[in-house]
Amino acid sequence: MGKTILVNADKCTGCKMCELVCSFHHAQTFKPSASRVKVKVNSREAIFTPQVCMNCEVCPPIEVCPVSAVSTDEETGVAVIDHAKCNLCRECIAACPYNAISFEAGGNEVIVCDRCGGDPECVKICFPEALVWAEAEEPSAV
Amino acid sequence: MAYGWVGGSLEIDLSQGKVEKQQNDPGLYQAYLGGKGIGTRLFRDKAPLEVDPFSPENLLIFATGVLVGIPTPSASFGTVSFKSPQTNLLSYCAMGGFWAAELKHAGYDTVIVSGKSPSPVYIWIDDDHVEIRDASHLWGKSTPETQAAIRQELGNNSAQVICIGPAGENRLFMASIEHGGTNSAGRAGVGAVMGDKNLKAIAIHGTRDIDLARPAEFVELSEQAFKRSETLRDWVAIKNWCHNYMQEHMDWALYGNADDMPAGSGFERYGEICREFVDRSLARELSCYNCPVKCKSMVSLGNGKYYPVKCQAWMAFTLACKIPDLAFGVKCFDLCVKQGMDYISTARTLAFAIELYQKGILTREDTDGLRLEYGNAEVALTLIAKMARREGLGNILADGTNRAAGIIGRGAEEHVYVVKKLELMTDSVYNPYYAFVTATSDRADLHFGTVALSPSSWHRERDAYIEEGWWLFPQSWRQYLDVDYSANYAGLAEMTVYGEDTKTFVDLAGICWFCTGFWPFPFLKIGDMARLVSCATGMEVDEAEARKIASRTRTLIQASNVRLGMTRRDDTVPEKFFAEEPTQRQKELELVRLDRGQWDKQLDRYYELRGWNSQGVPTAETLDELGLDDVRQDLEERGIL
Repeated sequence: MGKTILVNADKCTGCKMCELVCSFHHAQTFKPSASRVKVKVNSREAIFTPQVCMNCEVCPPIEVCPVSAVSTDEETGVAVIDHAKCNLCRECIAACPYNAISFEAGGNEVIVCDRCGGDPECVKICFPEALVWAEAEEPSAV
Repeated sequence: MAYGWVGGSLEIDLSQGKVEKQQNDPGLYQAYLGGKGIGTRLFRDKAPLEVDPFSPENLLIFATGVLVGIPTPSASFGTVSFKSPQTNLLSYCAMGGFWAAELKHAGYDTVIVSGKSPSPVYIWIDDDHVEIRDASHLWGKSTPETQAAIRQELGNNSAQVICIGPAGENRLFMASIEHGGTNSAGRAGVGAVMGDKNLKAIAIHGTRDIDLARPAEFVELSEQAFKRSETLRDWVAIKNWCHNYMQEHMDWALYGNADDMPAGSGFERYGEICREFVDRSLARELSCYNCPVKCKSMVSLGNGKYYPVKCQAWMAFTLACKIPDLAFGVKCFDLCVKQGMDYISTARTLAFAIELYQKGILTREDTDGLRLEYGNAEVALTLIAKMARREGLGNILADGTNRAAGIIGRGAEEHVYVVKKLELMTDSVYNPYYAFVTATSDRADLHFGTVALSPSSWHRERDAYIEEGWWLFPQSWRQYLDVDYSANYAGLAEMTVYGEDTKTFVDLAGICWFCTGFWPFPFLKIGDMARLVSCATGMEVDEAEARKIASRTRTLIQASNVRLGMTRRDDTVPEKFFAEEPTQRQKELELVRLDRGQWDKQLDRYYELRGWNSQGVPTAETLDELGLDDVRQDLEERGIL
């Protein structure tokens, strides 16, 4: 398996810069809801968790999609939405255990991380290194 | 199509329960950009300056910075403009966090709140949907409880909430607006004005785009700034601070009601105490929206709970009560956040009360039986809670030291350390430059007033700071670096004006001052910010134009406050700093007392550089040049000009 995005929530400071650069890369605008990565906030204890497709071996969205629009990319292992097939029922959003699939507000698409073709923008901007781009097998990177 | 700004604003009249949406006037926003510039201008346009701060006619104007909500490093700020009950002047508070970005994403650059609701309410802004909702069930709740309850009842966990606590409801002059546990609009009674309006909170959720005129160029400039932020990031890291700077920072902060630490009090090893504390207790470091600098922390005190702590909260209470225990300081700060109190004024007021008790001006009869002794943590926490509830002595102290001294009498006035009735920050009088900036600032305040680093402080970084080009001021001003303040104040006015322009522009842009000049290694200077504003909005702003925009706002605030009676006599710090002998400890630290002759000369120079007359009134030429001819007319008609 190749490189993937590894998440270390302990290091996340909650700045959400990843959301803005992701939105700009994919939608050429600055809109958090267009971001493929989302920072989940536990405000009471100030725990921040960047949520993004985790290459699950068994991907629940694939199983729940009524029109078989979700598959996994052979190379990267991330979930892929076939927009031609997608009927916008949003079952996949509810099914993903990592909240990695979302619906773009004001847009008309179900969205999910595509790893920016192998050079993820969120990783490049993440100064606390809560998001890193590394071999999935290397536990030392986490 | 609006670029940089989102183009809309809300006018909410709480008396009528009415919400109006408006399209912004692009000319107004080009002239003032955002933040306190827009806030001050709109206040003047929509309310009489002479308004009673506790009347429905007073306004709360929430204005976002123009660079907020887009990937500008450390841009998360908006300001709240209002007439202050404490200073009786037009004032503002700046607050970071996430609310300002959320407000822009909801489609609004500015929210103007007027009137007074007959019963407690909160405002819910969800993109186009804006609603005034009942808050009776939230009244009396702490700020974290309020934020959680609102999110829960709205069923929206990503809504950003700003709110007041019991202190705001009880209209304490030191009441703040709190947001997210670590962010506050704290000073000059902003929370009291919100409480007076019966406005408990504003909850915001936004999903809209923000478009830029030249986005690719913007992102590139922004990425370069991010790369430059590394030096500051490492320097500010709380471990670095607690390990290396706390001892000397404490030394600077010894003044006023707590100006000496008795031998054996434990403060001799304060640096060491801080080191041990941070190593043991630091759980996480936090940022505001888009900020690479982690200036806020969560600490664990071993009781299973996490406590937020930031900035001067590391030392404000420990010094005020002479308790060298950071866990105590953290608990006080936590109590302030929960009650919605400005921790700076709260800590200084505690120090004031304890000093009065020590001098016999307050006795146990006045203190509801409390022994206000140094080193007593329980009494300090009790007194903060009593202030929040306006209970007994707490009620007298609730409006700060100035008003409390007036009520107490018996010489208490001698122990008040305020500028324009506002309590000073801890290190405000560390040297003449800090004192001068505090005295002339548009909010009588140091950190979020206008101070830039004193050239004579931060000795350890100083050389690298200059050689590597981090210095905030023009490089040609290097001669001011080695000024010996005991002999002369050369350059003080020049640096104050330049620093003030930079800070004002920072507020209009919505960036954090900590990253743009207050600390060493600022990664955005005024020229960089001007370029970002140009790329975002499509305006052409260079450094000179940026300073002009900043001067317009600064001069407008000044013109407003001189109309409210502020004079040259107010631009000073307490007389004691000129006259009184330094303490032994201060002598050891070679702290100098202020020199009135030098001070007055610099004040003349400061007014001259600002284009104001010798009484601090902006001249007709200056007002005309800045496009403030209506303000000139106003001052002329009133015989002030």
